[in-house]
Amino acid sequence: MSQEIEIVNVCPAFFTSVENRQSDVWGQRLNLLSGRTYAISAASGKGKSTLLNMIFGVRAIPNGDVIIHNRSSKTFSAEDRSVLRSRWCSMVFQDMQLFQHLTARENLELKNQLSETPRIEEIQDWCKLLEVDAFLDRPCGQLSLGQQQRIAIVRALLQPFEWLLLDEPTSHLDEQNAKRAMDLIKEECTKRSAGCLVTTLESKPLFHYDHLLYC
Amino acid sequence: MRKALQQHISLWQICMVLFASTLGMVCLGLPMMLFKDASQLVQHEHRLFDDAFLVLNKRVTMFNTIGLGSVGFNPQEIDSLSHIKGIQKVGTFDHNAFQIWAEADFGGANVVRTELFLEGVDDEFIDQPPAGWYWSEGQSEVPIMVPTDYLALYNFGFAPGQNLPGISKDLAKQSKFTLYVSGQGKQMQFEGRIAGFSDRIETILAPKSFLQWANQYFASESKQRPKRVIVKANESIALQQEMSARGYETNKEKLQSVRFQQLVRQVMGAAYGLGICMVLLAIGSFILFSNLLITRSRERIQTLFLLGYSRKKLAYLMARKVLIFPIVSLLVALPVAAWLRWNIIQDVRVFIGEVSAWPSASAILGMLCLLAVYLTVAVFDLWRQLTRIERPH
Repeated sequence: MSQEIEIVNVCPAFFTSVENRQSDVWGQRLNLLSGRTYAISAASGKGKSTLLNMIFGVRAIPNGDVIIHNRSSKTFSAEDRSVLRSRWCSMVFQDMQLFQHLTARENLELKNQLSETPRIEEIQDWCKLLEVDAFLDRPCGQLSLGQQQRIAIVRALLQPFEWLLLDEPTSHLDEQNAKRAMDLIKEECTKRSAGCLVTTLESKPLFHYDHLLYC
Repeated sequence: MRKALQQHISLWQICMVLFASTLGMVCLGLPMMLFKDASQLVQHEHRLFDDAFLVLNKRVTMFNTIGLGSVGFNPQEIDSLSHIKGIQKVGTFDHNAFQIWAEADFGGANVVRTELFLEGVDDEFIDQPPAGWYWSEGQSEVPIMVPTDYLALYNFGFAPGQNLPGISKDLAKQSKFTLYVSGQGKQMQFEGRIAGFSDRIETILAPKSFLQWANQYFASESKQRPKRVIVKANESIALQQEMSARGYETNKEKLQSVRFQQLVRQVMGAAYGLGICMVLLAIGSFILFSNLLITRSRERIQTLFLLGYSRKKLAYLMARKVLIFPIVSLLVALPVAAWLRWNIIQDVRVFIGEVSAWPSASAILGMLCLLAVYLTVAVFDLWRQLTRIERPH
């Protein structure tokens, strides 16, 4: 079964009203190959998050189509979307989507309960690497945005995936932490032969990528 | 996962929901439980929701005695009876217009001979027509039904005074006697047999076919106006008014029984109506409460969907939170309603006789059915809401 993602002539409403329409994504036929890292660059409001949310089944596809596993994602049922989110794709959300009243550890456990894929030691190593191991037992609501973002990145790795969707994953991180996080993501994607879609505000992203697409 | 969806719900809110739903269930459960007891209360005369049978006759006055005016009902009067509110059916009594004697031979010189009267009514008005309750021309045996009270009069009134033994119903049914029928210069004899006893009709009954044939054969005037009519009624007020206006008479106790049945029916109906309203309100409050819980948890549910949790898993978890309330309500309402029922029936126990301390199984089953209906509605509503939250927007 193909692990590629095909984006076919998807054109969101806001894009149709733009005068000088130039995009590598919207209104194009785009084949995202597995095992590659795609950087999607655009200024704010150009639909970077919209694209990831459409792939992840959060946003409805107004026209065109997104083909995942040789199937139109428009035909996905609720159960299919549950499988998509727990087996095929994992995502780091721009707003993190952490449970603020739960501790960082509980947030990680909540995701890990679904698949129990990585070993505990591995998770601990990742937390240590991203320097979040010290505040795992603090409620997420008490953590800084940078700390929350790192927790969200670790959480995204706690499941099997063929694609990792990252929506501005280092927007709240300093350069050093951002590099560490992106290195970890690259390493895990390579290990799992997974593709990666990273949105960024930078026109020339600092992290490693195979393709740069302008939204 | 349970902790992720945990919401602060005040004790006050929980208590209000539990109180409203419990009250609703008690209000519906109590009449359900009392229904059987109320049936037992009027069982002596009739079953609760059975229509009553009343025998009507015209008041006998001095004029009738001296031969002025008739106590018979003409066809118009009979027809007009069927138009009175609450009267379901009207039947007429045929009576013998010929001489009839009964003679029982107990051996030797012990021959008891008595003049008799017979009446006939359509079978549908007889409590339960006994086996062999028919007569056709040429048949020598005539089945007879007597009121149960006659047997009681004999056993407890006549027999002790005469130093005679009491007679059971079965023994009475085995006795045979001869019926001598005469009139118009003709005479015939038949074999009489007590076929059964009636609690409803206080007269000596013979099959209507026998009376019609005998009146035609032995009487000078075969078509006579019926002196008594029997009506099947389920309402007493209009009937009582009409009877007073027309100068008819009936058994007052039976009329009161109709009135009582009507009253019980109205009270039970009102209680049921109130109970149903309360339960609908309770179900409404449950649904609102469940909607409130889901609305409050909407963002968290959305996040769980984003993490890959399935709709089934979330529905199971939410259902446990939402459905616990009606289940707890029912568990509380059942003993409360049973306790109230017990206290209520204590007051009327003297009329009911022995009653079970436990409510009837059908009442409990009714309440469980109600719970099942609610749970189905609630699960359906929950599923619908989760589908709405999960769907791409």
